[in-house]
Amino acid sequence: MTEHDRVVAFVEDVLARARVPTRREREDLRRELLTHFDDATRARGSIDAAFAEFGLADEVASRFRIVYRVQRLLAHTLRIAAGLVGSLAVAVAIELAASRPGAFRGMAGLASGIVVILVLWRELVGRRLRRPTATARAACWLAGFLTLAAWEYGIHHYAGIPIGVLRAAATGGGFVAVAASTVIIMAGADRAFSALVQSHEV
Amino acid sequence: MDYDREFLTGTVGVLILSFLIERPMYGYEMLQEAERRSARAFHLKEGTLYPALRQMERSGLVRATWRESDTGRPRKYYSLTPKGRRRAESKRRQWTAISIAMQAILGSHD
Repeated sequence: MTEHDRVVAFVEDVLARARVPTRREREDLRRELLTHFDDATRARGSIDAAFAEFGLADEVASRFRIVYRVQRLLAHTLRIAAGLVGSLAVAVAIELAASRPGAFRGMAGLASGIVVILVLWRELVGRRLRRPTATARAACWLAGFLTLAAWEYGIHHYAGIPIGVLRAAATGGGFVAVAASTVIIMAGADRAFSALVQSHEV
Repeated sequence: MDYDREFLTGTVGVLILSFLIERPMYGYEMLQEAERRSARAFHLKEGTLYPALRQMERSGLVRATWRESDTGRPRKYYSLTPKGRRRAESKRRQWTAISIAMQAILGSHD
């Protein structure tokens, strides 16, 4: 690992722990911290000295978390609200398409559950340091689809309600659509929120 | 002499305002100025500076712009807003008064 790689890894660690709520602010902070380490390494003579003078990633990140706490709370609320509205809209659309009167309540509950889990996962665990590969993402979606289809098939059999494999797969596909719409809506909400809160020129 | 860094952390905002009242500066420049002016006695954990700058930016005390430094490398320069300038002048008066009072108290034990 080169010195530059170590700096990049450290800065990414700070950013991930700091949970800076908007993409634009994260990019700006990343650029500023990389510039800082460039200067500090030259001035201190070594990258280790620059790290020592900077402080621990977690300590610095905790200070950033305090700075952004109100903005983060607003972003969380916006994302959760947008995710819930989006998921319910998709659930209603699926219910209308499937024409199964009376089944919506359960579907909306599970759809909302999927949304809440996705949103909480994103907000509590934080953003990944590295973007997963396309294969890894596809594998995640496939695993999610299979899990939900199996859940539908199993829960119906447990309740004594007949359901075919194809129908369970279709329902699982519907829930994957809910999850996908949630991810898309959250990304859109993130971008919209970034544009909303950035009033200064950087 | 070793200073209590927690004590110094509480003075970061005053330091930033004091430097920026003179001219726009970037983060590392402020750290170097703090060391230089205090003959290296005043030594902050560098990671405390950037959250403080962000907080002050969000509070409307400073504004930031990216531009090339004298060396030609891009830096994020901070400058005071009118609100920041008023705050800087107020803090300077407060610290001068506190400093005189502390000097009087500490001096009385000599």
